[in-house]
Amino acid sequence: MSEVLNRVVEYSGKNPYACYQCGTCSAVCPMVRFMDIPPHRAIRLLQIGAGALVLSSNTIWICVSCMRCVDRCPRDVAPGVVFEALRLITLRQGIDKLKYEEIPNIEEAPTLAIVSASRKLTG
Amino acid sequence: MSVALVTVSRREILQPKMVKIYVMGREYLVPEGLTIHKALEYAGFRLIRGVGCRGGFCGACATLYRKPGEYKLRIALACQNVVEDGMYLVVLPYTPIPRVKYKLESLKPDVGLVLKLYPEIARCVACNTCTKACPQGLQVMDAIQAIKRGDLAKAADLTFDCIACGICSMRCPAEIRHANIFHLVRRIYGKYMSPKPRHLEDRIKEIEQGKYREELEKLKQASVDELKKLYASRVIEPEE
Amino acid sequence: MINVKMLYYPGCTVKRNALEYEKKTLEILSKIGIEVYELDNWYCCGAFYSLAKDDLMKHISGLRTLIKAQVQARKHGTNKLLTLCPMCYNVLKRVNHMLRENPENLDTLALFMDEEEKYTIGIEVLHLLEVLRDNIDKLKRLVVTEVKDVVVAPYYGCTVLRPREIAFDNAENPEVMDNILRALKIEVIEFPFKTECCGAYQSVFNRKIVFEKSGEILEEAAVRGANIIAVICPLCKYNLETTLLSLGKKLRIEIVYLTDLLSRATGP
Repeated sequence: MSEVLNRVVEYSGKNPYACYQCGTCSAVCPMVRFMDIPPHRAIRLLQIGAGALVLSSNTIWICVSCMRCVDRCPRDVAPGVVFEALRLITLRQGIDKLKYEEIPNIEEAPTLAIVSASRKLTG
Repeated sequence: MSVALVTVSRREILQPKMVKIYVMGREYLVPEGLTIHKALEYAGFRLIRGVGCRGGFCGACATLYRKPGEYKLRIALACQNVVEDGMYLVVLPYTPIPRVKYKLESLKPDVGLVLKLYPEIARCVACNTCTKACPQGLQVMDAIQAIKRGDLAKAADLTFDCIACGICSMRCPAEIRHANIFHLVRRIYGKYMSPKPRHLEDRIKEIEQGKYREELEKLKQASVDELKKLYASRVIEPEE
Repeated sequence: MINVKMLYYPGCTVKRNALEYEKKTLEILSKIGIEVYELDNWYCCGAFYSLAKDDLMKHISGLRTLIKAQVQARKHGTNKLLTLCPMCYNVLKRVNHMLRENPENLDTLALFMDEEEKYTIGIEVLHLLEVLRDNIDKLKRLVVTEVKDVVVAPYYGCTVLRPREIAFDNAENPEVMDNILRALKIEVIEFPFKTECCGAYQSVFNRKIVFEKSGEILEEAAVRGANIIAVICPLCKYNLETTLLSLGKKLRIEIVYLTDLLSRATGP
């Protein structure tokens, strides 16, 4: 198993090898059109040891954990949870994705938007 | 008030009990009962950084220490806390928390403003490490959470005794710049939320209208001897 | 009328950006005989439930809130904790659920808590919609005026319906809000975008996504003849409204909290 996949299993408790590529996750994902790599393909890349490609894609940062794919996944691979693990691989190195100074009118945004973005995009 | 008399033998003064402390890893024998600062001086250190008012108010002497066999990282103010046997300590020379610039006049009492200047409060996970690290015993996490709740007045109140030593910020997993944030909310509170002091406003108006100008001019012209005389014969307000 | 007591957890955004939502909601609740006690000194829930297995630290804020509720529950004689914000509901209910499924996590978390008492997993986290659903008959009796010229598209968002273990309605076609509105004789449309994602916190990261996602929701509602989108989440409302503004005056549609509509029907 590749290092990325190892970490994914460790952080998420999910098994990407269980995926049989039905594509349901990508079909129900509200964000799929904004992603470099659609969820089902991201899981496939993990299976074949190309997790690094997923790590460097925008996919994991576009996902907002709506839990659609998690509820619908027939194999309990739960791409939404796997993506959280992939985000953590980067965030736990001390690399933050969210740049607060680039948020337009941050003082007008609802507190909850900033808190949730902080949880998902900063380590 | 009764005073308890403590008899100290000559021997005790000349040969105080010594304790072992470790300063940045090196062992020193110092007399029991000294503050950490005094012990450092006794050991031969000249205090340049990590020292300030020596009265427990300025927050310059944040100190971290551990005792052998304990996992707990303890905190102290070097000017206030006395040495204990076996202390492994370091006095922090500085905590890097540069202040964010803002104009007090352009602030408003809203969380959005705190989020704009110090967005990291959104990262607080309520772990409570800050509260455990506060040498002043403040409810630091509660203050951060009060800000998130929008209760700036409460946060200002909870942090009134913050001396900005910076230990909480060094320990915070969310990298929150506590002291500056608390400074900011107290300023916002003072300017926009606390009741206006009428007597102060009246006095400022009097000053602006020139009520004291003449007297001031007279003082500026006065000789040193005259000033001394005036000072000695000044009327002191009676204590209430 | 028998009064039901509930603790109430407002959350950061209701208290700052949605005071009207809170006011109208508390009015309605008091009318249907629900006594609400706001938690003292509540903590921010964290807004998003941490999905990683080994990231227990991120659940501490939720747990602290539940313990606060437990303490204050004794005082008020209720174990119900009401939330208005779907994000708060989602986090608190999932933390509760996680602790119930894995009580050993509670022991680990307790190592980081010095003063709090032990959590006995006895708090029941509720969302406003559930409470309104269970009191629909009482709501019906409160109607004083017909809300005219209003065609509503009910919009649920994601976090009260997913994941499955915390949902109180069908995630594919929820009808709680539809039924409440219909019971108050408010016209409701069939709205297939009722559970579509508004873009969530992408409003502070990648705004274009929010404009596109929320734009579709707005357009679909308008095409189907709605002039109001009823919401329950302050973030959905913010996203839909900023998108509406970005579209100029193209769409004649208003984003309104559900309880605002209810109070229009039930009078002041």
